[in-house]
Amino acid sequence: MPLTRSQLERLGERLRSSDGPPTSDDLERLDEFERSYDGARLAATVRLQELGLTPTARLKTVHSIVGKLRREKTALPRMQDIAGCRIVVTDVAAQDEAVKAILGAPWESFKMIDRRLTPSHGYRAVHVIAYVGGLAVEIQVRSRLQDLWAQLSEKLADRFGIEVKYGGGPDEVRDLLISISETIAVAEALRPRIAQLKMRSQSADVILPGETTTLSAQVTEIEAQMDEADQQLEDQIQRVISILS
Amino acid sequence: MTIFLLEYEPKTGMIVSLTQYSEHERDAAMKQRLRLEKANALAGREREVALLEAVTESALRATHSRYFKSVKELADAASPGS
Repeated sequence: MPLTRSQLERLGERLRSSDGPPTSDDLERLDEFERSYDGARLAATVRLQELGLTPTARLKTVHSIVGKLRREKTALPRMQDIAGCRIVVTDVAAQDEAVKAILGAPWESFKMIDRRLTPSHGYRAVHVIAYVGGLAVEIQVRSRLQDLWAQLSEKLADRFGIEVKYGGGPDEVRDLLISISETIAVAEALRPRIAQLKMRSQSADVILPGETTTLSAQVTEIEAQMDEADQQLEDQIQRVISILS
Repeated sequence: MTIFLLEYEPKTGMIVSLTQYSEHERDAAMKQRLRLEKANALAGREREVALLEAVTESALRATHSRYFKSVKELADAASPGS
């Protein structure tokens, strides 16, 4: 018989309040709860593949569930990321395209969280919470650079504790992660601008209304800013390597 | 899709084990996951046990690269030219 809502809430409370690892009984209950998401996760994965995307599906690890319960007030049955899929695409343009395709799929309902506009402690990505059979599946769509940031934050969390991902941990690490996120945001904003200006300047290298320089001069200027952002990112990654060594 | 059961030790950044299962072996993968979680809890070991499904191992490595790559390798893989 599936676990009732109140049994799940009690399970969540035990996992939250315990100092030590979960008991064998609680791990079995958690396993049963996660298995109830199998159908939804599989259906979402198939749907994403039908859209031409390459998702990796996952069950939330016990480590993550317990961490989230202890960090937040969310009750276990209300967690929206027990089942998840992750898609990593080349850049923001491909990300927008993937998100558009996902939002157009026939989910029962969905909501989109654009963490590019409102980063969470530096984390940038687009999440779509899609409902299948009444259950939520969290679909994470990241560009390669956004994914790089997320993987770096995981590496730092391995060393300094999971709180690093949520605005905690040593100041130096937290500040570095925020600055890497900002650099990536700049780089991701500049790259499509260059492509756009280059395309326009090919047909006519003019000075547009409201601008003081030609399109090709603007390209040169933005390319210089891009080089600066790339260099900054390289330096910041060197600092991560040095912190972890 | 192939199912990957991965056991990872955050402290060392090392994969302890990585086992592949076919879609038909999902139940066996889930049971093994539970066994590993119980063994780690009992031994007081801080390890992540992740059950992931991807078309290929290289697809898995693309979305969950931190299990497989160093920081430098992560940065190289994310650079625009790669």
